[in-house]
Amino acid sequence: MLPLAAGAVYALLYSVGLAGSLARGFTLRYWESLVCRGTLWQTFAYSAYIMGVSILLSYLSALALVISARGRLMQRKWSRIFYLPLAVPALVLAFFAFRFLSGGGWLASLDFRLGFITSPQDFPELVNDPYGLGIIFVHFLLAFAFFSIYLDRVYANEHIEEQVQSAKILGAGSWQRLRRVIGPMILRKTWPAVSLYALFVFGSYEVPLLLGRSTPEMLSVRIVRMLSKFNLEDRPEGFAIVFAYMVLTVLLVIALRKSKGGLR
Amino acid sequence: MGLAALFIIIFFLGSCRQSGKEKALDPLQMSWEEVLKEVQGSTVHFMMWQGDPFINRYMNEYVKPKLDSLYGIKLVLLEGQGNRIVSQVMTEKEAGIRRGGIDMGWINGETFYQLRQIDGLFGPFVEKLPNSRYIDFDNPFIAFDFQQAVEGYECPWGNVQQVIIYDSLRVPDPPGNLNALTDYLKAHPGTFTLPNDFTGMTLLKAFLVELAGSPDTFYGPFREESYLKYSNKLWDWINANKKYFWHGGATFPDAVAPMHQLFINGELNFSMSNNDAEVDNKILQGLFPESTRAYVPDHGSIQNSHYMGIMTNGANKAGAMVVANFLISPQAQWRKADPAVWGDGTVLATEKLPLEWQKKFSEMPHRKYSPTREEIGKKAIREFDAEYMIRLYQDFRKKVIEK
Repeated sequence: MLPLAAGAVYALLYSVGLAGSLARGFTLRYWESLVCRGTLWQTFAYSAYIMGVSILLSYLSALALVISARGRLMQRKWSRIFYLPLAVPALVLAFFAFRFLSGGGWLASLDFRLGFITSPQDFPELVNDPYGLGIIFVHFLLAFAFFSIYLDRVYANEHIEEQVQSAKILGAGSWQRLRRVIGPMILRKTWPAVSLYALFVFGSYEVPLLLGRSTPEMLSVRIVRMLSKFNLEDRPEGFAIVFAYMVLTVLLVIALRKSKGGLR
Repeated sequence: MGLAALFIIIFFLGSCRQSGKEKALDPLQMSWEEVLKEVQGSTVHFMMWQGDPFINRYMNEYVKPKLDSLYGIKLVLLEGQGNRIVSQVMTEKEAGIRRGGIDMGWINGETFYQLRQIDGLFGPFVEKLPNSRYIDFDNPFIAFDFQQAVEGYECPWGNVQQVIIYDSLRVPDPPGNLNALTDYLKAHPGTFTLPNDFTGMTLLKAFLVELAGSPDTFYGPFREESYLKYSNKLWDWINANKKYFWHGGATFPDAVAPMHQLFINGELNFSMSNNDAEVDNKILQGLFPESTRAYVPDHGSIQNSHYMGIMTNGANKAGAMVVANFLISPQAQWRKADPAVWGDGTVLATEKLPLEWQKKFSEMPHRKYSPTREEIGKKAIREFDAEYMIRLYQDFRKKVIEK
């Protein structure tokens, strides 16, 4: 915790003009500039959107798969394929997605050969697009694999299938079994890990850097851009975002620790 | 988290290096013979961009062995450029680390301006280098960096000019000015863009020159009035036409490398480079098709030099000086200028060289696909004051990207 606290204090001091080579005394103008321009909220909102959609899609898909396999997904011969995306660095996967989904990529080439499009510009925007589809696609691949392995293990360890069978004997329908048995048990056990994974997606850098747009930007992309801007006078604004991000992270971790069944 | 980790790493790196046996001697007070004696067996940490296999091969297979055999110097190449160098030096200085992790760096005008701002550059050291007598300091493209006199605080290493890259099969007649580019964009929407980085901003400077009619408007200290007058015209032109840019001008590549990728994919009909020999280089690497060519539009393009800077908190300044001296030697510069090796323009005034080297430079293998330096040199524009770059970056984001 000490390095984290030291980093937070340093970022705060930098953002109010009290640290750094070019510091000129206390000022709130960097914070004012960030808050008043409105792009800070846009950055947080966009990061939250990417995180929410990626996690929701991958979690629900993995859950559906695990339920249909009744917790024996990883016992199947082909199940090792789930480990593959986890072994590939996110940047490599992002590059693969770019080559696959861009206007000059493999999918577009196939469309061209099939006569669906006549130039790369005719291909729909699936990367560097306004809705972050390329970023969501890569995070989905990574998270779906992780959640499938994780949920399958939880399903087996918590003996959920036995509970489901008991509920069935007692007359519960499939929707009731999902809502009253599987859902609560799985969610209670997995939400701390899911929250941490969501935080990881929220702060991801390489994937949005390659597949995102110049605006809106995800949080880490914006922080790195501001800390490495040509005008060194803009660095305090970058540190202000770093501080806000750290506070958010700490609050989430505290909330997880205090919650029932959370981090210990 | 990353920042905290960076502090810890820098702290330990600094501690390790401080415990070494290297003494804090001022090489500027020593004779060159003493400097050479001092550096025997030492290590120099050189931070440079390592994104080009040709440049890496030149450094690893030629420079490193030569430095070892000639001076007993072990050269360690660190990956990083511009902002990474500035960030590390700044963080080290703010943490009070006197013997930092970088001895020297490959820098350009942008980084020079920033490092001078934070007093991060050691010097003046260039005059101390024996080979500096061959440097063409009469050339304003070498003696001034972003209109700022280098004054011995950075050593010229190479000289380049920005070129626009195109595929001659796809673009038989590339646009030579903004009007022609407008027509081209309307006829071929989605095939042109510019990177939101140093190279892209450098292109915008050339556009400013066309709008102003002459580069003289931007020479000398920054003038707010000139900047506002012509930059507003520039933003108007971009905003009026960005719907014809790649992805409708809603996003821009963040560097030249992804632009090259888009050019190779066929999404873009143009790329660009600050290295005027880039096309030869990339065709030889098998990345660009042989039909690729480069040109400088009628309004001209920025020619600038890249330099080597020694950090004020570098642990081995003497070693860095010896490395810099070798890299500006006729043999190292001649080898580097070969398009099959790197293709980087020399900073030496070849007429000052011994006859054998003059002959070698005159017989240098010619470029096959890139325009000659003589040809594009006629359209060379000097770099503007650094404030123009700051404002272009800011306004491009506010008035184009976020609009």
